[in-house]
Amino acid sequence: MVNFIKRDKNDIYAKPIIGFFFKNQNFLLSLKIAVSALFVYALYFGFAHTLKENTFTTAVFWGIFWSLFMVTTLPTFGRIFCGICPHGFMGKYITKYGLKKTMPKWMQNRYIGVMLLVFGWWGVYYMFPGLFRTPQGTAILFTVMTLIAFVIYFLYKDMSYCKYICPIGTFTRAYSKLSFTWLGTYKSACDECRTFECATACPYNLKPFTFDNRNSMTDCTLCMDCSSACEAVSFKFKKPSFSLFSKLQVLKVEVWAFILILASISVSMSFHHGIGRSNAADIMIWSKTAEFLKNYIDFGSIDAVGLFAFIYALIFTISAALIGMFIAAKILKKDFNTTFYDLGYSYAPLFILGSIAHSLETFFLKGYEHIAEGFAYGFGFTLDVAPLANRNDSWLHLFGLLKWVAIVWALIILYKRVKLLNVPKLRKIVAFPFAASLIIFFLSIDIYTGYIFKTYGKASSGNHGVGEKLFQSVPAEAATIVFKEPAAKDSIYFSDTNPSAEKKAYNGEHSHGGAGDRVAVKELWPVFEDAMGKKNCLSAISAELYLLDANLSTMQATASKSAGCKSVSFKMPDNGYYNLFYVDKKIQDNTLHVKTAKYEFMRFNHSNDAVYNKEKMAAHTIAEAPFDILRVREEDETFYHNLYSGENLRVQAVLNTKPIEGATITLSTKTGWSKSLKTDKEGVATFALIEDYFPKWNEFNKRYKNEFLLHASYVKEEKGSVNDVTYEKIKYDVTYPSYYHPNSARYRSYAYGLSAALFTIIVTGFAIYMHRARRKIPFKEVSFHEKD
Amino acid sequence: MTEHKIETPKERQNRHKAMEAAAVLEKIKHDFKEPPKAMDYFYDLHERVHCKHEALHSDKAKVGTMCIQVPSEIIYALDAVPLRLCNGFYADDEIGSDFLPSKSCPLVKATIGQFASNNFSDKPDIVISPTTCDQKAKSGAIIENMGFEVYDMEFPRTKESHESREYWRRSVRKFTKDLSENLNTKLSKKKLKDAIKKVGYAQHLYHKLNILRKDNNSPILGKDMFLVTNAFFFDKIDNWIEAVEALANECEQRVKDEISVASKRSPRIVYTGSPPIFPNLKIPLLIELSDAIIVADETCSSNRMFNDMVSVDEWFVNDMVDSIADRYLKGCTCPIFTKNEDRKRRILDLVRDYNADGVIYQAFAGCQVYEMEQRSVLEAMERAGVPILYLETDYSPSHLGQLTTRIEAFVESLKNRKRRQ
Amino acid sequence: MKRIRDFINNADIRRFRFWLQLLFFVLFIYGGYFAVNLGNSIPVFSCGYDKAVGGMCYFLPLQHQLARPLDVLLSAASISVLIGFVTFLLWFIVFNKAWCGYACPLGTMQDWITGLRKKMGIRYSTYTQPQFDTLKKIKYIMLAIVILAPMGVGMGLLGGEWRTAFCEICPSRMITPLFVGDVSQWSLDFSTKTAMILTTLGLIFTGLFLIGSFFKKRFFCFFCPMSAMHYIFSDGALLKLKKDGDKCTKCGDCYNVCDMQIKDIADDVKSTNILRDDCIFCMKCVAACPEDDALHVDILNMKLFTSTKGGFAKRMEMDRLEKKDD
Repeated sequence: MVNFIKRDKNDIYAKPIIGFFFKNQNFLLSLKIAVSALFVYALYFGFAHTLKENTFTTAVFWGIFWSLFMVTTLPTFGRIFCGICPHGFMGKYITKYGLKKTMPKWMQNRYIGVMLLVFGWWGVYYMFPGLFRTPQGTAILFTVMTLIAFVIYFLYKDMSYCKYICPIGTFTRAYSKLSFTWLGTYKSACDECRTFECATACPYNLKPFTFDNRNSMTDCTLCMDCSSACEAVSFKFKKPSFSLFSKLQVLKVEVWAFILILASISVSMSFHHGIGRSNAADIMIWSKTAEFLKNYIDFGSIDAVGLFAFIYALIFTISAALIGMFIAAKILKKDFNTTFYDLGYSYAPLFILGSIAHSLETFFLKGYEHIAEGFAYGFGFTLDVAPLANRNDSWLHLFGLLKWVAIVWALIILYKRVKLLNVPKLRKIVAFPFAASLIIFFLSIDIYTGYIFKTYGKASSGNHGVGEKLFQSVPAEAATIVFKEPAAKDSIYFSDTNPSAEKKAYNGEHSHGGAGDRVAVKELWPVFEDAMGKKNCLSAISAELYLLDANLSTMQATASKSAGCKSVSFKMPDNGYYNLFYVDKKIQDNTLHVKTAKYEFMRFNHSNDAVYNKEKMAAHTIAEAPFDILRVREEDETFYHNLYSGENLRVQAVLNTKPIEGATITLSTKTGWSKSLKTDKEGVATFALIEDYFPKWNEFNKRYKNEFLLHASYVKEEKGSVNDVTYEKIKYDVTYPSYYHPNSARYRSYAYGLSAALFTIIVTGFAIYMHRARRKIPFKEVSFHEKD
Repeated sequence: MTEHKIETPKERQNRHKAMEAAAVLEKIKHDFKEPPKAMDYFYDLHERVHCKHEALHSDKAKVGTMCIQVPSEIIYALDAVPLRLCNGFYADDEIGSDFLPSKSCPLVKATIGQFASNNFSDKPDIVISPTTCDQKAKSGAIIENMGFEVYDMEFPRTKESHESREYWRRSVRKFTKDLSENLNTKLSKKKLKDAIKKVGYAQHLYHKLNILRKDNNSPILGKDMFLVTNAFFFDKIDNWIEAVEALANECEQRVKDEISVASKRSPRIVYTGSPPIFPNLKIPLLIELSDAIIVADETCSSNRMFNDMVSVDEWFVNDMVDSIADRYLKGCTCPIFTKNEDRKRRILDLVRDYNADGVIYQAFAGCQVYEMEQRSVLEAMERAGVPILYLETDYSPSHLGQLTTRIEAFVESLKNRKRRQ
Repeated sequence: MKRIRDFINNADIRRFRFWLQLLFFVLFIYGGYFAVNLGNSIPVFSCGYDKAVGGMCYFLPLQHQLARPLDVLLSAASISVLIGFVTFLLWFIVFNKAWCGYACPLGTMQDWITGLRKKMGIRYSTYTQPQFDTLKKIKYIMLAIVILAPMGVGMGLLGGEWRTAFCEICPSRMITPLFVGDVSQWSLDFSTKTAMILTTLGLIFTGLFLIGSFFKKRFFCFFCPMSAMHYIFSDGALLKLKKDGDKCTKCGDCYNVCDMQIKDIADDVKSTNILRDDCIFCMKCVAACPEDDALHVDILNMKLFTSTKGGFAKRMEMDRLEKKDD
């Protein structure tokens, strides 16, 4: 025993505040007593107030202990939960006065605890969700566990309950290997020790002085009893999961704990709660099995789908691990058992980090509220707190990063553990992806879930705030709108906003989606303006709708079916121009009015492999539209093309796919400026886009859309008849809305730019020159002239 | 009737020194088989300088240096000649004894002795004394009292820290400036570059010779190498380069022809410790007379003087001076430094590289730092499984018998070891 | 075999490097004119703002990818991020940081500016060790900007101008397009305050880059986030800079020639992998090492280029004496 030791820098016991928390015995004792008192009180409360209003009991057990505190501390500080666990704390005293028998061999089996956790708890959880969620259920569960624990503590020595029976004992033992703390001893002091106070003080009959050499803390629960017995005990910061980076004594059950817990929590949850809430839930194998078996077996109140999701999760997970490792073992030419259990430790981070993400997210969304209000209830006052986060907060998604950390971490551990094997390098490289099969499986479930949601969408009955969205999508405006009919003189054009909602719809423009992103959809509303200049939408579309897509194929388009403003939507899977045509033919006053509305939109998803094909990207018209406006492409256009003020816009009027001379084209901007031109021989009219945007400088938006409408008209004397109604001339109209941005000259300054750079160069250059010329640099007072 | 001339003390001293030198040269020339032909230049040179006291540099400013830390490149660039004043004469050692405590290093005593008797064939115009070991640093002051111009050059006793590097760079910069003023010559980029390249070429030649010694058929004995490197102390660098070029070529031919100066079974020795300086080649001669061969050494009169080379990125004076400074501090394995792991690594590397069978460590009685470092080097060698013999000697010829016995026993044990392998 | 070895080890690395750098410079800056497109995951600053770029700096697409809404980024879009990242890794993994010393156009420009200074006979500046230790952290801050700024945009915390915040302040955006005659980047953007600050910083950094690299060798590499990014993955790279500490005499020759002032290269005799985060893998240290095999460049544990006494003497022109007439 030593009374003083010079502690290393990374020793937590030597740190100012945190050291107090882990070292001060009075503090630890009071903490343990407080936690035990809380535990007992919560149990009592659960029996006393069985109603739903008792949020206190559930807050203690399901809000704090599991899973928030446990999963956040395990991969960080290690098993500190066990250190303050009321069972362990009280068990220590029970054992002291107990019979101290040796536990029978059959009970000294760590699988008992793991199986209890997997089947006794999670299996039951999936079959009867919500069974233990009530205050009473919770209280009964934990009272029973406590009684069992106390009996075993009383009978057997060395806290055997914690080691073998406790459902979370093996779980915490296994996952604490990821932590960045390590309880050990100072070797220099222990070499001369013959009294072993640390071992005597340990209620678990462990030998802390052997931890470092064995590279294992075995069953240490960080109760810190040893640290009060001898100063040579250290509690150090290490690299996270460092013990997994070197050889260690393999405990098979730990690898199984990693796999089974991953299966029963992460994978089952993905199946049942993730994919289960998509529209594809019914076609999944577990739903089908449950559906099929329901014909033969009466499941009663059991949630059959949950049960089978759980069973399939177990089967898939275990087979992924076994098959992958089997192949890896063959490649490595190693015994399967050694390979499996040696490398299986790399599975450790998969579950626990995902679980942290989930726990923290839950905590911010509702856990905090639950805990705060539950405690208030438990101690007899009322409190109403708001959750710390809203489901729509985008920062909540940050926790999603942890999943990736888990995968990378697992791969790193696997890499380090493969490295330890005594096998030729090439075999290691080949075997690595197979050994990582479970990690890949875990990753692919994740991606698959994302895929399912993208393809099939979320089922409307799920939780997760779907309800709110449903209400939003009901067109509430439908009732209030008075629809007007367009008169013959009114020109129809497409608007990308719903005139009744004046709310911007998603137009896919800014989705920087790469492969596999959702397909962009464009929704357009044919509108006309009344005398007041107000946009009016149509309640019905009688005209023909055509879509010319990026691959230059023409197809019919259809209008939306819902009541209210009619719109036209089309998908834009490829990069390129999409043209929507609205062609209406009407005879009025002996005139055939051919009204065309055209909308041209370039879809570009910023993908790396996009090729700007000039042929495809050129302006095209379709035969179905008799009269059309084409924006003539400039020579150097790319996917990044935009119109800017000050530029020339060249448009071409086309009649029956031929350029037409003498058509009138009018460009009118939103602000009311307009200009009319006649097309020349090539059918082209050239407009200068005027600068028409003068906000205050600090409100300036360089992406400001100066909207304008092109309107071309042409009258052709031609007699004919449609449906026995004759006409004497044809009046062609076509509209083409677009917009341009302010010219970069408005907000970019070369003069200032150059002067900023030059200023820096001159000032810094001068400063360096002066510095060199005048200052005597210490140690370099002597400098030499560079000359021959 | 012959005229009887009364010998002046100076003449007597010179006679003693000449006798001492001649005896050693005789041994070197005749007790071994087949010295390379090109060695004749060096035998002759040592005879001229040490027996006949011929002046070599009467046309140039002569800068005496007390230690290898004085940058010779800079001295050459200033059109002067560096003369290393470390002395190996027992005759001078005895004179020096009057000025220093009895338990002082014989090398320092011999150097002081030479100054005391003011008996130089090439008398230095200025003496540069870097503050390396205590004895040398203090002897600078003693020499100054004898009426010589002495320039103290501050030298750090640690070399790991950045501060020591900057400190030494400052020392060298100052030294350069002061020496240039003292000699009234301007330093120019071209001259400095030429000097660096010339010294670099000399080093390159030394390395070339050394690499040949790695061969199992050693073309040249250690005692000859010591003569060659000793000659660099005082010879005209151009002559030295020419002679070593010839020597290297001859040795190369010998390696090709498989001519060896030692038998195949001769144990190969790495020599380390206090520097053997002509004519104090006692230990190397004893070793090689006992049928061992010195294949490499780690001493400041030979390897350490040549090993580290200057490299310059941009050939500016400022850069070159700093680079030169670094070469004299950073690579140095002198035991005066506080920590000296580098020296152990170096010896081990030499053992490995030159395929040596053992190490012989000589420390001058009175050279505290070598004596103090002895234990740690011995431990390091034992750990590496390299046999090592530690010898403590001085310049006096008295303990020869005992030394012979120890060295012969060591060489014999190495031979046995080699045979067993 | 031995002759090839000797040839490589005695090679004049400077000339080799000069031509290789020139080749890569042309490839990256003018590649577009020759229809060269090496994709956009190139681990050097071959700036995407250059219209004729032959392969784009990875940071521009990376920032765009990371700027997606967080939920999209962490699920479906992660694939495209991963693909880009894996491509980046594949490029990087073979040549390690040699990309910096041999291929980076911005690095090449700095070397040319250094050459100009040498011609003018002006000596270079160095940092002191404490300055060095503080300044070297900046590149990690830059890397944080590269990654966090677009993610902030994705989370809706930052405005759209922050999407490519690093590019806005990166001197390469200004300088690289100059080589194809495009001066459009040399302007301040007054459209928003953020844009104004970022573009002003960009031009100030450009000024600093030009003046800094004139006085300090490889001035910018010290702050380069790409260098920091490289370092994270350099352990897995095939090309390695290795050191045999037993052979090192700590003479400091390598440190003297090191453009990046990496002290470990001379002083660390314990590590075998001597690549440090500032290293640009120019191999000047290997060329300047006078000890046989003390420093060597390995590919897959095969020695590619190693320091030799002979090679050193040859490169320093110490293997022969210039015969003079006088």
